[in-house]
Amino acid sequence: MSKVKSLQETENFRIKYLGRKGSISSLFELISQVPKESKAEFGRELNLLKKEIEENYQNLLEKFPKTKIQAKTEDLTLPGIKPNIGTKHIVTQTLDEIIEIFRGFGFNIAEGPEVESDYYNFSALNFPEDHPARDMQDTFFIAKDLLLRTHTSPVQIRYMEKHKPPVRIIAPGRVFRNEAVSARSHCIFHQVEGLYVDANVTFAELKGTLFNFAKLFYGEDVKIRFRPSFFPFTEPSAEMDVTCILCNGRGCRVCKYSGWLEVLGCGMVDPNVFKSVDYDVEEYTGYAFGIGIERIAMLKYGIDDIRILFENDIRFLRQFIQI
Amino acid sequence: MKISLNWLKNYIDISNLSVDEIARYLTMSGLEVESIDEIGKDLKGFVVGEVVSKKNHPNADKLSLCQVNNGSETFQVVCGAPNVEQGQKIVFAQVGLIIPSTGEKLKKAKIRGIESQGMICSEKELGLGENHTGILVLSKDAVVGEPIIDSLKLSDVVLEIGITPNRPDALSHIGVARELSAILRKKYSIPKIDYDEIDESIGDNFSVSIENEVDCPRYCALIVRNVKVKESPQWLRNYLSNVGLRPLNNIVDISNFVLLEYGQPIHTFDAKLVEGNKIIIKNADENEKFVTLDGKERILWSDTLMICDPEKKIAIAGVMGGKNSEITSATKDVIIEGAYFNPKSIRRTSKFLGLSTDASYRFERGVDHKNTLTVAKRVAQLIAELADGEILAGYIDEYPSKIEDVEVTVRSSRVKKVLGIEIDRDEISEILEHLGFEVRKLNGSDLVCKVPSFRPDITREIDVIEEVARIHGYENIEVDSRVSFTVTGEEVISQSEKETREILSGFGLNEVINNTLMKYEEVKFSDYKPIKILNPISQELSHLRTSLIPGLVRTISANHKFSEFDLMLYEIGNCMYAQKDIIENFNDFSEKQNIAIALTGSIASVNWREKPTKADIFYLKGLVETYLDKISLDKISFTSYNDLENDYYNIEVKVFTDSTYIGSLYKLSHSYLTRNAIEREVFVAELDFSKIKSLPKLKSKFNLLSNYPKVERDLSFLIDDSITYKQIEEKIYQSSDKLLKKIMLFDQYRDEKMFNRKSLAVRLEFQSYEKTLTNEEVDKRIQKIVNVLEKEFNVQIRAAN
Repeated sequence: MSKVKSLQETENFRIKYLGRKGSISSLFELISQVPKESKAEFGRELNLLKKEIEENYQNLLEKFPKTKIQAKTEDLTLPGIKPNIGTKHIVTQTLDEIIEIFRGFGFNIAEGPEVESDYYNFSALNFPEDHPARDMQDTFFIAKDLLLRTHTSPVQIRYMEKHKPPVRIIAPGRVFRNEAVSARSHCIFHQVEGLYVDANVTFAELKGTLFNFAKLFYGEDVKIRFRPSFFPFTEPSAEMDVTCILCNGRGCRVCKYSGWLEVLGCGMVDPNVFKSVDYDVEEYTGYAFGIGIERIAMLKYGIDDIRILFENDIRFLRQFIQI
Repeated sequence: MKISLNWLKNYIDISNLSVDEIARYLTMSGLEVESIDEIGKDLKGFVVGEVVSKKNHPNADKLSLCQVNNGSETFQVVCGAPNVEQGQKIVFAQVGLIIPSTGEKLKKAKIRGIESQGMICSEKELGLGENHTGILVLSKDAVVGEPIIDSLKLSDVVLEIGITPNRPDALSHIGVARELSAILRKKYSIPKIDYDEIDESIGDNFSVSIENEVDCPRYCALIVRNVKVKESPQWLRNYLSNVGLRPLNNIVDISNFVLLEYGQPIHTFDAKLVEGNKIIIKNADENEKFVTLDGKERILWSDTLMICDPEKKIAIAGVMGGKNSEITSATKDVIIEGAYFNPKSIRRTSKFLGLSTDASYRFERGVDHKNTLTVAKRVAQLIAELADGEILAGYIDEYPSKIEDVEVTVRSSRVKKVLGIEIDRDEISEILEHLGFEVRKLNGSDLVCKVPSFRPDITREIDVIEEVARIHGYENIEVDSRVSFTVTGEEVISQSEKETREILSGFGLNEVINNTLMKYEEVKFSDYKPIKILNPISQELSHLRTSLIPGLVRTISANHKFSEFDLMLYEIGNCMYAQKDIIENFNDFSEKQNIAIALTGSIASVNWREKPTKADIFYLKGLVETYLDKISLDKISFTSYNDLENDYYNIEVKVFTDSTYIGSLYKLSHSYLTRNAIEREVFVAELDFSKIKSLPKLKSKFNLLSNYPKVERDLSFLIDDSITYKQIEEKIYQSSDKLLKKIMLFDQYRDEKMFNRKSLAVRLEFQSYEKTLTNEEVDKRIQKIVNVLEKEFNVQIRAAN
């Protein structure tokens, strides 16, 4: 012990006594030659000896403290230290993507409240009282004339009340429907409303704008089609379908074998809507459209149950780190 | 709405079109075909068989042993039906077929020791009806070996069409035929109504009186005598069951058939049960009770329009008939009602009663007021034909206030202004004529068109333009990709929401989206008065959130179930709260947008080099401060409260900019978290984003840089534990001059031997714009700071270097 003067000599000490071929090991090998009756005693003594030497070795180690050393060559296969990456919810990612496209087309962003009046949500948008059109949207009420907006269309009215044409806005936001929550529908979802009013806005331009939106959003090869439909606040009204992004239009379960997916509703602003906001119905024409965000996001990412979007499972949220 | 193609073919020739083509034409003109159902698909393989011989089963009294020929072979079949006889034509199912009613595959089986090689089917087994008392016996003319779908003309294709609320005209087979006629520019035909009348006239002994002319503008009636109520013929039963209706008896089936043929609801009364030979149309009494033919007692109000006889009410007009006058197997004489009711009145009644029927659905959308008599006559004709009835001469047609025709002028120039394309005036008029409009050309390029009475949705030029556009085809309107925009110089609304998301996601936080609706227990988190939903889906979703925090707590709890304990979350969303007890208008409540952040567990993911940092109030505080810095909010200050006696949180740190309160940071209480099955510490922040957006933002400005090096000094000292860092920092700044640029706390330490004192270490940064600072100049300032700290706070300096 007293001869040991350095860390290296400590290591030599360990090898000499405690190493695989050291003295203690050789003594243990002798155990087979010891007579049966002394074997237990021999073993006990030997273990005590081993323990003592180990303690001495520990003391020596403390006497010559280690200094941290650099590896001769760094192991560069060790994992990198990654920064924490957060995510935006895919509903807002999708929303942002759509907003970005329409901002490029010169659209401004407008907003409106989620609690709306019957007037803004229905009457001003040409939903007459006692008309079956009101059944199209099951509504949550908080008072006789106050409700949770069923679409983002009231923002059209609010914006036009404050601005004279030309008007070119998109209005993203949350909407509510009084429907039981299931895999296919939820009582909350999000929409982007679009509105363009000027002296000479045409249906052909509506088709042009939305066709170019579809190309930017779904890719150059997308095909679109417009089908006549009905919304009280547009006339003529249409629904836009795009070629099914899952089967490329060949027909699959998701598109119900039609090859088409409905992605938005649109149309030319009904003159009655212009009357609500005091616009000259002869001079101005306009178009409006509404895009349901969840549906688009679900199709894009192949999600078949809307509820997962609002369950906020961290494993789900962390999947969408790509922008 | 279900449309049978077999049925449709009675009104328009579509034999040259495939089912897919028909579906596409309808869809592309606005009648969206949602699904296509092939009827009789499940009866493929079932054929007409003949019972060649019948013997008793040797081992069972109630079974018989039949030899059945299917046109090519003969099979031995064990049959249990009591009505099986030799020579009958029956439906034979060979082994291997799937029986529609059970969905099970027919197997070869030994029944009481005798092999049965197939089955003779009952109506019920085939899914053709309810009858299971015996096998289905076919007519003697049935051709042995012929597939049963052909023999019984079961094969059909049914289109499920989504009809938008503006198109009541398309809620019938004739309506869809008319639509196809316009698309294909081809004629369609309606049934010829032709019947014999008996000498007695309806007017001799029967009358109708309308007391509420506003809600009942027109009421027609016919009477048919001596009808035989029985099962309808096969063709009629097939039509109805193919479109999803259950055939009942010939009288009821006929009115259902005509409803789906013309879209005009028809009601039939048992004339014997109508007293006084008179029908009166008037409103119900308030709170009057009435039993409808579904056997339910309904409570009416004075707005409900009723069909009555002089003694009693007999039907809720346009919605449902009464039990007291319904057609039964004993009915002999039938009164046929064809009426036009005010759509709004029917809708109010239907909503009030919570009762929507095929009839009310059509009346509230508007039926063809010119067609009421025609359709009533059609019913009379069919009752005469299929129930051997005798039609009384004439009819009643009370039409006190005639509904005027609508005329609309359509300008070619307007068509172009709206659609952006030129459509030839001749094409416009051709389209409109096929849709039933009467068109008159004016001088110039304009048209006047009379709107058909079955199109109540069309009252204006724009409505006609839509008709032209959809039949011309939206596909044929060329895409115009110009973006012709006028620059208005208007302020573009800032994208602060997007920026905030990018900043917070950049900090490593994950965005969540929670429901605005939550249960009452949850909204109690904040002191705001919550707003209640008057018609909630459930008690779980009965209130509007007043804070985003309960949603985040729920999210954390849900993630803990999957052992996900390290969470950094944020949400941006609207919260609402009441300002008055009763909410009537926008002044009575507030809606604002909030940002909330929640931290729990470790901040960074596990790595091999560093120990993980635990989330705590200081990490949250730094995060909030950095965020506010990034969005250029100035003069941020905090006011803190420890050990709060609060059910929800123990620590609150209030955040101010200048003196405006913008939100708080909280350490959530153990009891609140336990109630939510969370066992770890959770730190949350909630900021009023609406307010933050409205506050003036700091303008980024360039600050001149010093050309001289900075000098850093570290100072560590023991200080009384009750003195806050904020006090010390302020004191240091006060006791130095503008050369002191920055103070950074880099250590805090406490142990038992310090006796209510703590050790702090700060780094002080000095810099001048004019020269390189000498050691002496800095020492002098440090000494002054030390002196002040010693004097004011009685600190014990441990090191200054």
